[in-house]
Amino acid sequence: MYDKTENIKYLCSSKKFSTYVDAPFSKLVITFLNDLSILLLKDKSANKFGDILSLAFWLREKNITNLKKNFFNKNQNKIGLGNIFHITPTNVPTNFAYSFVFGLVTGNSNLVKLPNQSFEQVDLICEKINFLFNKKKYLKYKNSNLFFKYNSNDILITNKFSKISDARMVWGGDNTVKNIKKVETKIKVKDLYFTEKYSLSIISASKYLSSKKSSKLELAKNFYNDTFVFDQNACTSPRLVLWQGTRNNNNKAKLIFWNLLREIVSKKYHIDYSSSVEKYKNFCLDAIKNKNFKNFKNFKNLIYVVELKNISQDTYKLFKNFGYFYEFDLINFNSIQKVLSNKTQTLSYFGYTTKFLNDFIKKNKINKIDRIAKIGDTMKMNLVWDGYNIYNDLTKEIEII
Amino acid sequence: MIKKFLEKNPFNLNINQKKKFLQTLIQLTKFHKKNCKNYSYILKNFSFKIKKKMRVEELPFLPSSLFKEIELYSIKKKNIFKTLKSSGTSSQNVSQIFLDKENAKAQTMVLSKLFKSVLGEKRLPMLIIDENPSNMNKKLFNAKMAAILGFSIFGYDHTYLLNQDGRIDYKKLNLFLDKYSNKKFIIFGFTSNIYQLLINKLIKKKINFNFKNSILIHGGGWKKMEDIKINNDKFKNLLLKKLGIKNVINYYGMVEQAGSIFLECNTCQFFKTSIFSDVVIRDEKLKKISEGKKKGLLQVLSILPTSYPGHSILTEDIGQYSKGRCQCGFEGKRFLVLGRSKKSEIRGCSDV
Repeated sequence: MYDKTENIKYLCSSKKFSTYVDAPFSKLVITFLNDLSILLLKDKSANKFGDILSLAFWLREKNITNLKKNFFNKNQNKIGLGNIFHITPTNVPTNFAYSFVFGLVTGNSNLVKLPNQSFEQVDLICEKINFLFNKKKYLKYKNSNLFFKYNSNDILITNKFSKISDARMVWGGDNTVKNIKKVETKIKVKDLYFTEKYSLSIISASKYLSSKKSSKLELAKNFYNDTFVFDQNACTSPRLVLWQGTRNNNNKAKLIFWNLLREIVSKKYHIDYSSSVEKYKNFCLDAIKNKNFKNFKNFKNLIYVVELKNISQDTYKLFKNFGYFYEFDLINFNSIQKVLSNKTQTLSYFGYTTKFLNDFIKKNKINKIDRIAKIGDTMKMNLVWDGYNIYNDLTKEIEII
Repeated sequence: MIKKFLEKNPFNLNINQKKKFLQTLIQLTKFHKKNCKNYSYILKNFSFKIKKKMRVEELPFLPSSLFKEIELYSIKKKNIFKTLKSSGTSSQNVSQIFLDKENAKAQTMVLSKLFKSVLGEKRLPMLIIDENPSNMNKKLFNAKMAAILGFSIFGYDHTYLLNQDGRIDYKKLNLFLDKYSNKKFIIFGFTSNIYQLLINKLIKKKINFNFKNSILIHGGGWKKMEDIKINNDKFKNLLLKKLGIKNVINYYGMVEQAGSIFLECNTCQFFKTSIFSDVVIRDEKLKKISEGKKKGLLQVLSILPTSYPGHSILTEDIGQYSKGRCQCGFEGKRFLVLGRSKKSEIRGCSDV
């Protein structure tokens, strides 16, 4: 495993790698994740990052036990597949950790390729994991989990890890996936592809207008957390906001919503020079090229909102980042189907009941949304992701007849 | 439009002159809005209203990178006389600046006006720290060639330091210096070339003359210099130490606003605006920063661009205003260029 001539940089590693499999949601894994949570919450330099905080809360025993309740069935004989190779994305610094935890909690050994660009968050999390690996009780994990960086073009390294993997979790663009598919693997390798996708929000204008001032403020905060925390770069970050209701209500709701968001963004968000110029350049190009450009609202160059004349399956091609939103008025909820495509990931919402959404999905046989979440919950990671049931996909079931 | 400006002292920025400058910019904004469709779409969709009276920071601006992505011109296509191209450091795309004859002529005249204020009316012998542009690939008429040719008009007996193989031609250099080194002469080159060739490579033993009477003019960015940690002071010191060159003038300019470049003041070493140009500094939210405050993005303005909407450009350079006044008595804005704003890594949903 440790050929020094190769261009791999290991962040956490043991001298000898050996595969270790376990039943999902073992006591050991729950304790390990809880210990990691405590370490992250205690560290002042770590808990200043909003995304590390969310991860730390997600790793708490209470939450993992909840996951267990939802997935684990004691009448099933489930065990980890073996080695999981994670090719993690660069858009959300903490994403590698979630991918790793999915592998670990399902009882697998993990080979985790970290993003090449450096993120303080990645270093901090790896430091804590390493600290725990050096404890005697987690020795098994130390030897069965590797974290490393290498250049994605170095196909030989991808090859080497692929050959010993039973499943691969590939987070990336279409090209990443294409390249991964070319590599030699085990015959029965299970590949899960989390490709580039885009998300949108829908808000019921009448429900919004009749909600309390405090809920409106809360919603703005939640929306901020879904978007600006990651420069609106996460797949889950909405880039299009649909306003459902009468024209009059929609206009009233928009005004309140964007202004409340602006207040939060001016206080919390920091944009750098080049992103700001890039965003403005994107506006100029949009103003010239976009045939569906209806009007534009600019909130201190922090939030750009372009209202569209029309939406279609191709609307996602317009999507931008760093606080660049599109909006569109919908009279009926059902017309949302016009914008859904196989690039649609998360639909986040305000003002609808779970039953209503369930009925909508079932009645219209919707298969072009991966997940539906309340605004504010888009980053809540679950073992069901992008339409995969990761719990089932990373375990094997042994039947006794 | 610039005729009346050409009669004036380019650095005499009294209130009256500033008013005229601003009025010209407002006129230009109207003109481009009328004549460049793409520009008008931007103003329209930004709900931008051109008022009779505006402050310079209220004028609309285009990001320089936009010229890399889309064609922008305010003239009939058949009247395009020359297309200036430059490859930026931040992108692989090439900026395209479309000039008609009139605009090209204005650039030359203004450049000449500005340099005459430093060099005097008389043309001088000129040593160019580069190779002869006529040997370069004609198809790539880029900013580099344009600059060399543009600056050539100040000199005569143009002598290129490099031969066709890209090596220093000592024989030619000695011939040039033999003829002119005891009189005033010009050395022109890009900052990085001056550093690499004159400061680093040139072997003094092979030269029989000195550079003491020269005026060295250089520009074209500090990016390469930043990487090797050479600032303006160090640069000047090295030139003085090695070659005895005392008279060094740095200029700041860009292909989007060729002609109305910013010259360094030889007293305070800040760049000076002129009657043809101005700067505004903006923060991360693109809001104007007051003079004398912290650093920010440089927006440059020029009354020259008539064939393309480049009269107000937001650059990717970071700058800072000077505080107070210079002893030389110059009244206009002065500023420093601190370098290129750092490109944040594009985080896409992919592992690259």
